[in-house]
Amino acid sequence: MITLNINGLEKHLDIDASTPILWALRDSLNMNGTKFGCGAALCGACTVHLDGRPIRSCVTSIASAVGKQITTIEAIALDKVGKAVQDAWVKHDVPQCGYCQSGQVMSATALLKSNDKPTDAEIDTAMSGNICRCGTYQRIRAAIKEASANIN
Amino acid sequence: MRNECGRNWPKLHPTPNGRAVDEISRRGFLKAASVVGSGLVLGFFVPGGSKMAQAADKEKKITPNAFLRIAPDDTITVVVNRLEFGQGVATSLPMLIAEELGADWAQMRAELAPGGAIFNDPAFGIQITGASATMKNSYTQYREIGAAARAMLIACAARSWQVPESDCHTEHGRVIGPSGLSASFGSLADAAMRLPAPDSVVLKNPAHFTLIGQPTPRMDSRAKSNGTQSFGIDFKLPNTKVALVSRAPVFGATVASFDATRALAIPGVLAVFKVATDRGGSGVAVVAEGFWPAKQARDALDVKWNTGNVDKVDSGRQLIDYKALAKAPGMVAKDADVSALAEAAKKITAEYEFPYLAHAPMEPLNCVVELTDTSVNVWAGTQLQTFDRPAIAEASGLKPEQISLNTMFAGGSFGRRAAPTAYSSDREHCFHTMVNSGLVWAAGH
Repeated sequence: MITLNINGLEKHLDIDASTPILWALRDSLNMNGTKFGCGAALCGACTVHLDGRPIRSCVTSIASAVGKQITTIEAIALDKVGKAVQDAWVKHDVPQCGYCQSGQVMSATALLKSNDKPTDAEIDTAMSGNICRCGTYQRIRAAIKEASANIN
Repeated sequence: MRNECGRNWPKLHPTPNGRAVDEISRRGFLKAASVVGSGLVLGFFVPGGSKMAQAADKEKKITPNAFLRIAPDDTITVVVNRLEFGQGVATSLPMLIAEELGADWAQMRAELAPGGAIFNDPAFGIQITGASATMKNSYTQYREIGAAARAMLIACAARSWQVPESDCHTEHGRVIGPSGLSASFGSLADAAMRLPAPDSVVLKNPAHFTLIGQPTPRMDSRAKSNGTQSFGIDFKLPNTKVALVSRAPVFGATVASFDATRALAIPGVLAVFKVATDRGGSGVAVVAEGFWPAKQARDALDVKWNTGNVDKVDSGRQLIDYKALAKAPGMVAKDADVSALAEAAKKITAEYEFPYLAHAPMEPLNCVVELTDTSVNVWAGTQLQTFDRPAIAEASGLKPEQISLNTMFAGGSFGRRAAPTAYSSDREHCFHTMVNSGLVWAAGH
């Protein structure tokens, strides 16, 4: 039995300790907001926060998350910065197919929580691990700037 | 017609005068597309089933009821006859109906149509999302549906008020009559939608458009920004199992051998068996209680592949072949007046090379299958329901009419979801083993 702290709640899971956080969320806890893209930390669709830092949940085992705080897209709007990011995403009409956007929102939120006035270059660096095949990068950047303005 | 739909796009069938249908003029095409439910078939060659597309066209005329639900709470749900995979049809088609209805944008909702001939593209005569054809072919169709529903709401209100229909109009989700009479669509809907659809409709004068042509935010932006948008891969039935297929490193290769011992020892793994894949190839399927045991088991299979009889594709060789082909006579895609070129002071010659690109959507291909002795229910993000149905029938051994196909939002496609191989890999054993099973193809394999 493994105990995880997800979005502030204790969850007890009777699954293999090597299971990636992604599959604990999706298959065991029915939390589908975090997406499976590549399974190899290459696309960023599965990004969640572990103690506030963005990580790829498809390659991070639940064993390594014991005693830490996992935050997912389902709860990020409870955070002031996360809410500002989501609102900016809607205002700028960022998503197209939308499949990568949970991960984009999580990475953008983590960026703004550590650097609330990022430059273009800092945005590009922080977001470079999140792929969008629809190519919404320009709007992502604009939305991050909007959220930055709104939290400052 | 530009082909955005990948390798299994139906072949265009030359017409008797020798011109392929993609040479039909844009004007003629629009004219054809404007005849709603007319049963026009643009000569698609449908492998093994060309009669099907024609038969599908003999459908009764399109009625608003199949496309539109107005609820007593004043929400208006538009049934979108396309796959939403980022291009925005779940916003743009509802805009057309909202415009003609005189609805408020805030009361509009969208859902994707299931497989069914009534949802065929009115010009292609098959149910398909591709060729950038949604707005081109369904623009008039959806406007007419909205206009028909508007006429029915007005008829219903005018009847109950005992006033002429010509004294009534719609705006902001209400029918407005003379002397301050007014009723919301929701309050009229039950009675109105039971009226017969009018034989002909009057479309709004484009000069009076308030929504069409206006930048309109996507209806799904919020759900796609907060993780609540459900995609095909998020759909589960109670007790759903997950199947993954170990696929050959090259198209058409077959399984020489595999060892399932280690895979079957992983807790949660239920079955391992060989399956046929496309292009005469084969693979090994793993069924498990969840994705992670299935993935571990697939990685532990130790499959040896037979690649002896498979074409060796070489990118360099391909490019040489393409260049040779480009110099050979071919079909002219677009006629342009290049006479001025002869006199041009400066000529620029450029060669553009494009690599072979994989249609790799971010959401891995997947479907959920619920199989009984007499029915198959499938949930999938698909671009080509008309062809999926016979593929599922063949794989399951059931009849096409026993198959229900539910269209799910898709995380991209780029044409990949126009090829029903996600089902055909189930052929033989899979369908009989995977009751209530989801099939996920993990990316990178």
